[in-house]
Amino acid sequence: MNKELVVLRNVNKRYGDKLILEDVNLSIVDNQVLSVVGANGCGKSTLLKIIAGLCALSSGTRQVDKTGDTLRIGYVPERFPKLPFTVMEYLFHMGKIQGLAKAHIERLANELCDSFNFSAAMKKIRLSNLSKGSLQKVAVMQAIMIKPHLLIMDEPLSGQDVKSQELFIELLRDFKKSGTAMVLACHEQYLVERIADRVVLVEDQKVSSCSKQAKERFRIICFKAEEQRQITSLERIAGVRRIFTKEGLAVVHVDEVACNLILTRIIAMGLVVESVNAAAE
Amino acid sequence: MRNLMLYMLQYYVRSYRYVSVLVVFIICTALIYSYKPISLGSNYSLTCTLMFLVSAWLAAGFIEVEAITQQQLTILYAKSENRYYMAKILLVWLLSFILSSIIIVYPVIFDFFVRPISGPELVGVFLAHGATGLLGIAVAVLFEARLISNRRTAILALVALLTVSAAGIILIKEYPFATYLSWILPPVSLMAEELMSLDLDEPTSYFSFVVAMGYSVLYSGILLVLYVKLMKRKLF
Repeated sequence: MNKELVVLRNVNKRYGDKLILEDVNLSIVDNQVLSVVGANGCGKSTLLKIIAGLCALSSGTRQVDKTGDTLRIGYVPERFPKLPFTVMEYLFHMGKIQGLAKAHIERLANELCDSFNFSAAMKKIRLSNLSKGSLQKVAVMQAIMIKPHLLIMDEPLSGQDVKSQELFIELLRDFKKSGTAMVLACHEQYLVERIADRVVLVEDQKVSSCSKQAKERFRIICFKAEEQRQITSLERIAGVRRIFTKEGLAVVHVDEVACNLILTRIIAMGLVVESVNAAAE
Repeated sequence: MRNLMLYMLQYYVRSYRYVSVLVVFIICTALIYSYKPISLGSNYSLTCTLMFLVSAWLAAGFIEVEAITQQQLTILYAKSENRYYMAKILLVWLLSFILSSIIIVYPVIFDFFVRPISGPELVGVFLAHGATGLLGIAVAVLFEARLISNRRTAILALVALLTVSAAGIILIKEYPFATYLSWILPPVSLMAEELMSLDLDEPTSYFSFVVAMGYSVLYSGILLVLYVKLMKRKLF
């Protein structure tokens, strides 16, 4: 049986008077990839921070597995800051803080830079001068450098080109094979489908869990769109699998768990929904 | 802890936030020592108060230098919030102590005083500067952006508090009712008064110095514990 690494029980999170998450019950288990989906600003990042132990809870409990080694958590934040360190200096500092030996860090950092196609010159560039995509790669490097038991990633693919995304997905697969538990918040539906074992939807302050079977079920929404940009605006929403036009109607295949959210979006744009049908892969 | 401090030091040095405080420190030191000879007590009483203000300024800049997202990562990898905040406080105190050492030793080396300073007096002066430096840091960190998000209010309140604390002796002399206030405010004037007594024929006893030191350290300790507790509750 898989070991529970982090367990959240009846967790509520407020920022001032604003309720962000309500009554969250969730367990992160060994050898499993959990994907967190939901609209922008729904509380995904807050949930990830809570799992990482970086967010004080308004109420409820967060329990961490205390059997075996101390739980090593790697965390990739949504927006990685532009810091006054070179790539190598930064990885060196993060490694040292975590207690790694100097020679070990140098070897790991060089290996990581090579695998992310960082040239020798790039290693010496300060993070404050790196592009968004390169910065995101450094964010991933620092998180995986310690070979974490639990890898938490908030929008890891944002700002990455297609080649880098493929490289990154391969890397995640390797991590999955090695048994690392992962929590991913991302809008890239294909990543969710290719990597995740479980999907949870954050919506209306609630976190609803769904099984693999539920992930395989989807809904087909047909609606009348007046402009192409209305259709394309839906493409990046978590839960959208396919969008195409057929006989003058826009057709969207969406995850069952995300259906209500996407319907709300379509209606909010003032568009007319013709039909919603259940389907399965 | 050492690795954390080295990382924080490099981050701070590369931010150049120390430039303004260092320039002001150098100007003040040059002004203070522009007239010679100087009396021991009044000089160290003044430098002690100056170090309270400089340390507070140093801490206010240092404590906020790290990007919020990076703070999250550092705390996560340090595996202990207590260790993280202790490293921050200890490092800024060490920086403040280096500046204190310069301002203390400089007139001794160049023999600016009307009379030579004895070994125990020098130790006492170092301790007093260390204590007031810590006091300045303990006060300033409580005005961090994560605790008081309105920066204008935070800066104005900090400046007001530092000014009233530093001018404590004058306030008490002018307005006797302010004596009560002096027990609530950071006891920088208490330390300054102790050092001032070095000019007297009969300086205050070691006991009163130890009481003043103890009170300052205890005061700082309470503020720093409060700071760490508040930061842990605020945790992103």
